[in-house]
Amino acid sequence: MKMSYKWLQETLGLGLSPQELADELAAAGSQVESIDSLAPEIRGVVVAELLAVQPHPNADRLSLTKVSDGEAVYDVVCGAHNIAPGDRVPLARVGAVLPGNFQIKKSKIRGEVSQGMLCSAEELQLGLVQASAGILQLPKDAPLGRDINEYLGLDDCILDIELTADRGDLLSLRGLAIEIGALLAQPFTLKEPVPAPGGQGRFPVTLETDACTFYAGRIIEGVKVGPSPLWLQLRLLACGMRPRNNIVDIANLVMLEWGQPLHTFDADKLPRQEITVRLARPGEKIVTLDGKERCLEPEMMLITSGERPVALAGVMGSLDSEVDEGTTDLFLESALFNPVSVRRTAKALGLASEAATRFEKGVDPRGAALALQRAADLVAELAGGTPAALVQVGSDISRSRVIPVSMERVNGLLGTRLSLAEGADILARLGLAVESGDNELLVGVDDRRRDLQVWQDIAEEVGRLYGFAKVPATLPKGALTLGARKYSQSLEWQARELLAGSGLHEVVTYSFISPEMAEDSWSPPGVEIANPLTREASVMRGAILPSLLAAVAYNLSHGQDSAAIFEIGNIYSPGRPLPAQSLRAAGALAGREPRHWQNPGREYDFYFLKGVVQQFLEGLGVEAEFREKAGPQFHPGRSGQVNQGDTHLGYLGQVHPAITAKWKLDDVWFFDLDFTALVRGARPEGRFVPPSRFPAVRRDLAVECGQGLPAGTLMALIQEVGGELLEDIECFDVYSGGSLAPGDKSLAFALTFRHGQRTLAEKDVQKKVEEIIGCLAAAGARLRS
Amino acid sequence: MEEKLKALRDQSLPAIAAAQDLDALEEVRLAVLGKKGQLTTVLRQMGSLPPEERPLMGKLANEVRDALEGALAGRRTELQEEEREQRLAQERVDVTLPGRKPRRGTIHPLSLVRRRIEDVFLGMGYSIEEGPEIESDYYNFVALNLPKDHPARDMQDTFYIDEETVLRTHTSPVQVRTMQRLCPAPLKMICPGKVYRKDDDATHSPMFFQVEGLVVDRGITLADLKGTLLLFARQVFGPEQKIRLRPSYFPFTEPSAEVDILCTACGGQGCRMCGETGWLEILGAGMVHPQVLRFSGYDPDQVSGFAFGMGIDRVAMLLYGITDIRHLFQNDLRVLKQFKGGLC
Repeated sequence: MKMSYKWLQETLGLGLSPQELADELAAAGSQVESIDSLAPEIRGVVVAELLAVQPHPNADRLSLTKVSDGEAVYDVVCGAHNIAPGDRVPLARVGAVLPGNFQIKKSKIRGEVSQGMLCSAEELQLGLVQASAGILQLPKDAPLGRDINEYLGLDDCILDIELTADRGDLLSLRGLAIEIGALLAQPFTLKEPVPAPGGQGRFPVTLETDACTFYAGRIIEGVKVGPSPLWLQLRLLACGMRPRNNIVDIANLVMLEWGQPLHTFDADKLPRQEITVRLARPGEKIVTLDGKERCLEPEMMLITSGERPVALAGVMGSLDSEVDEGTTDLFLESALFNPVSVRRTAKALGLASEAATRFEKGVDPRGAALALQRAADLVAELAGGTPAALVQVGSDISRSRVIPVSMERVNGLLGTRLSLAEGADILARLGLAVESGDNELLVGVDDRRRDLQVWQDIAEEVGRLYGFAKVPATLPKGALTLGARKYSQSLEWQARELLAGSGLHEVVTYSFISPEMAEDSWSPPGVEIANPLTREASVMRGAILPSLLAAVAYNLSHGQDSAAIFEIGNIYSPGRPLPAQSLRAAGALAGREPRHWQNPGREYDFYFLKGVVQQFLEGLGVEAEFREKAGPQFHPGRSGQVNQGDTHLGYLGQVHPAITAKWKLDDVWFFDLDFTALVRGARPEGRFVPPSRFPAVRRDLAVECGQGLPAGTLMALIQEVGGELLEDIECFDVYSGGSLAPGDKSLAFALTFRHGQRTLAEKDVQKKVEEIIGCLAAAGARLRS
Repeated sequence: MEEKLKALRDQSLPAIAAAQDLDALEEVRLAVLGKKGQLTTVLRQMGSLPPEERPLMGKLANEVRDALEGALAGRRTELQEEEREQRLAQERVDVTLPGRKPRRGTIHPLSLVRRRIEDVFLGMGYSIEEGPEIESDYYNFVALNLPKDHPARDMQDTFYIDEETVLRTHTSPVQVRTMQRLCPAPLKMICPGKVYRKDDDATHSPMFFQVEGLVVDRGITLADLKGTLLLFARQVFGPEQKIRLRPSYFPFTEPSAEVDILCTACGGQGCRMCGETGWLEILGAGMVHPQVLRFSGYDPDQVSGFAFGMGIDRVAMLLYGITDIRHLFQNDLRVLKQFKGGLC
């Protein structure tokens, strides 16, 4: 909401600077976003009178003028034609500075001396509307020699006030003046015009919808439409509005003053001498004032005349009923429209207007008739015309209520120690009707303050005006409570530490991706957003792979030769009643291990990836098995699944090359684990086993077998046969080629045997080893000689 | 024989002392004390001595052997020390070359800041609660005193899945769910998590992180809110911090306040970052609206509560001096690798 600083100041008789005023408002909850000067800098321009106007001897389009500022007479060459002796105009004397740092110097124009310049509205850059192009015409009573800034009040500021959504009452001079008056303990009331008696004159109004509770209108005959007087134009400009003509300007001024939006129709352009307020019919259209044709939906409220829509109620009028230069008879409307209806219509049409903004937040019912009267008075004064009888239907009664407020409760909510009298004083300053009881206040509120409904609302008013700064700072006094992470929450941090500890960097990617990203990763699309910002962010991801591929691709195309990243985040899938979310721990590796001068750094491969995953699972205390076969997103030969007993935990492996090709990436190694399942299977605490006092016996075994026989199968076999005596198996060498038959590989295992209660005899170990060798042979793995 | 033994001793001691390395010393030892060494040779003559001389000669022989062995051991130690000195003089490293660091990644700055905030409130006895990111309109709005067509719904531009399902615009629905679960017990909770709003510029991301807090009990006051937030601000932003509450409006709290901290760039002097005000807005807060308490089953005549909410992203940006929120979601390793530490 933009408001003129001077208007407020004059209304309240304030002695505050704009910044001081802004600080007061901010402390009470209305932030002033900016304070802008009304006019650009103008220096040395004064009111002057034209004494004489003669043609320039050497130029057809120029004239020579003599002007007086009351003290001296100046010769000024002028190019405009709207001037005559006796006019009062702005004179920029030699030395004056116009907007844009344009300095006025003594000059000769086509041989004639010019001791200054007569200014147009454009040259002063004020945004004023004039009856004719050329020099700005000032009123005949403008005092000669008066500085133009002072005379026009250009030293005003535009306060841009950010109002909270509940304070529709502050969308007017009246509301702001009451608020500021309350803050400064100078209670304020706006002078009210005396409304004309209502009636049902020759202009019948029919309300066909209860979304309009009150409708008042007045015909004003014989008006003369033209530019508004300068004070009115400047006032609107200082409130951030553009002046148009006297009628529209008056409607806007009164809206700014009272907060009640008004609308003006050219009465002769209304199809019939009647108004009906009703909901739109299917297929109806209207061309609004901004020149756009709007298709109407059945729930939109219309002002119609002779069946034709002439305005979207409370939002905007139609172009074909607009007041213009030719208007002589005016129909002035002041009505009360349902906030929700106006809001829906404005939203559906994407149409924001000053009127809609006010109706949406609810206007003061009492203001409707008063604003209409005020506007009619101003029209009669500034545009001539005769107001006809008032037409008025519906009710503008403001619902009043009494809210009992106990100061004990107010203090209990705020943590203050205010007395009943202090509370009563604050509320009275806000213009509320306060009656003091024994222990409580009875606060009378009407629909000017729709935000005040329950005693807590009143408590806020008390706290706000008392000052939040004066509220003490204490801590809750309740029983002690345990502050601790839940088990799953602790594990989530543990997981981050583990993965970061393995050299991966945590990423946080957007939950939304594009359908193409899902498609290009052969991943489920997830959950579609009905109103996405862009297509690139239009589905809640159904898998984490696309997000991590995008992050890898981003980094590889921004100067990194490698990327090792992880994310712990949700994926989403359709579901009832709500879509489901599931927490994943996933990571991706591309490129190579970091290089060191002693070690060139290997390329990432399956075993590096598996090492990261193993380390991670061990850190969480999850005992998992790795098996072949992963999802279709993986390279079929370089991937596997991770399971814990019957529980599937996730996959790991190389992302399918057909997918990485689409992302223009080389090999990417990826794991994706179900974090919720990990939490269920985790045993991070460990258990104590006393170290054995008896020595271990180590035996190495090297076997040859076909490439297709997994090492894990052989190790499981060895463990099974080795039983309790076999403490540890380590696969310490894998080899193929050389002297081996094609398609064969050699595996070397280090076996550690130990007995818990005695020293192992050599022959016991030998017997076990021979048994193991026998079983390995049966499984297709021959002992190497 | 006595002369021979003495001569052997007198000749060998200088030879031991003259040995220049361990090999030379070993040669001397073998020559003197070895199985075929000079001492053995001399002692073989023992048999030719008269029996009464033998004990005396035996004693002398032992003395000579002890003397020689002592000298050998002493010289050996000397030579070993010399050799070690020589080796140490040769073994050198360039301490300025990079070490072989065990691999270590980083935790995202948003996670680091989130943990820091969580820990402040855990220390005050709060629990951490979680909930769905795709929420019902009811939990996200209606139960928070924001019925359909409420003008304040415009304050948060919302992503919809369908008419009744939204991407949560704040973590407040977790508050509602927790209140409904625990009512009528008192509660102290925070709820951190991802939230979504239709906004995208240097200071707004369509997905961002919020942490909200809620305390419901008998006798909770606005002053308690102020004290709690002051403690939080000092713990996270420094012991000199101050906070300022400005009245504001949220449909779910009454009274409501915007909360500022002293500008982290200028410490309150006024600078470009704080628009010369000396203050930075970091949170919204207030006393839980009676309607919200009632919706969740509490009796607003019996209990009161305070609630607050802040953007973790905003806190991270202030703590680390990040000016564009998009850096937090770009996942550029050049950025991520900067966050090696993180205060727990």
